[in-house]
Amino acid sequence: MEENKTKAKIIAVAGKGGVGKTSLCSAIVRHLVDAHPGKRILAIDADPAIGLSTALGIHVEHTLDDIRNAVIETSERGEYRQAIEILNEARFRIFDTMLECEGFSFLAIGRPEAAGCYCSVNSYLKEVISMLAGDFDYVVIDCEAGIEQISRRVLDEVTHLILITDQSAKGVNVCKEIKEVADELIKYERIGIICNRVVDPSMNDLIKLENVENLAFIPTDPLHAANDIQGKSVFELPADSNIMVGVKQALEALEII
Amino acid sequence: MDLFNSYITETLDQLGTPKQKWAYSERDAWKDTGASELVMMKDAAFELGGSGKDAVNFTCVTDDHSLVSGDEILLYGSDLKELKGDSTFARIVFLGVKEISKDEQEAFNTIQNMEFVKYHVFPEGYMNRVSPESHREQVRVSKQAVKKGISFKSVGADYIKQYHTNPNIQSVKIIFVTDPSVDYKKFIETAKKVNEVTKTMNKILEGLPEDLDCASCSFKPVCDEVEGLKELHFGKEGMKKMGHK
Repeated sequence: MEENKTKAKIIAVAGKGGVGKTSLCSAIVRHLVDAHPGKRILAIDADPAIGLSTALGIHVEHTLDDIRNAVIETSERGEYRQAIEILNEARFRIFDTMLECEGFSFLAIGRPEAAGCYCSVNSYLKEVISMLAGDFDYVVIDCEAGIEQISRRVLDEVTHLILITDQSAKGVNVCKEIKEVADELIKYERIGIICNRVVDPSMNDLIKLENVENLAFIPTDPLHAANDIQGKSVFELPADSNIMVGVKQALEALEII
Repeated sequence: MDLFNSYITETLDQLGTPKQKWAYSERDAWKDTGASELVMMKDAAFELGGSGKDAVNFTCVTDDHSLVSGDEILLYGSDLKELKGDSTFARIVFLGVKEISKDEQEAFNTIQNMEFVKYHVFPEGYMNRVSPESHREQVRVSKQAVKKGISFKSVGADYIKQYHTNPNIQSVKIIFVTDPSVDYKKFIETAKKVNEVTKTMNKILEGLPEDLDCASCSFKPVCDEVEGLKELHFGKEGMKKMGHK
């Protein structure tokens, strides 16, 4: 593997399922596009639930899992390939799979057709992140809910880890668990937590994790809900919506914008 | 060892006289970034092999110096500065080596290492990507590079410069094809056959029984076409016993 040419900021968004990770992730992409025109930004939908594409207003036809399956098919046919060839085959196909949109590129991990765990596609994702990191200035990853991708070291190269919770003990506990695993396995530079869908601001003091900066408390967002139900993308969301304002505050706190 | 010579001859016969031909000079080499280069579609002037157009790549190695007598770059079709949009594309390389080792493993490693040089050439503003599976090679050429005067002469010189970092390589003939009237299907067939030769070499090295009945072997069609593979398997003495010259 070649040495990365540029030091990309790799931002992973993680947390419990159903706390609004994908919505916030799409808002991060929009802020980066607005704040850094001309920079190379890659959004990766690493959640098999596949929601980031919709939030960004993209239609996905091919995914990383398609590439992985094609590579597996080759080896199952018994064809001999050296590591460098497998890597170059993947690189060749990735640029056909990657979508180039206005201001950013997009890649989806996909949903493996076979039932069972996602270990293999996750390890493939790790290689892909490593391969592409040097080609982009910013990589934003919408992670699978929970700790799986952290514990499997998929996110080894992450520089900024953004944990998302709501005002629930379960949400905070999942963030705590992710932080503990990440401390052991990832050499991240910055970590912070965003509390989303705040209904009672007086409870905000209870959202605390040791050595994790509170980046933003985002109230429930009716503008986002209206945008979402109408099938509109994050790029059509009013700039003064709670999500857009809160995510901007978080990115400024992390000195990303 | 005659492994690829017939493919080299066939390809040169198929192509005929090049539109342009340049002798290699290191100072012509386009700047190499030393690491993979990303050219976004929006920054690309065009893509060689893009829009589903034919694109092929293969490399042949020979120790027959009459086939690759010196370092040269050949062009069939339009040069980079003349292209107005996506184009068909072939990049074919013939490498002249001192001698292909009689030792099977050494010969295989030498050939593979020489072939793999193609994965380590990164001309600035020229994003090449190679599929070992389909033998396609597609290249996005940036608008910036076209503006700066990138040409097949300069890109070819970069390739030759990188090939010469391998001490086994004595001479390099690099051929670029953008002429849409060329029979690319024939090139793809040749690329597949070249790949079959390498695969068969690997199979032989993994170990085939010396008393193997060729008639029952799945690699027979390749070995029938490429005399050097039989020699690799049975050795010169074995060939004599089997009645080959």
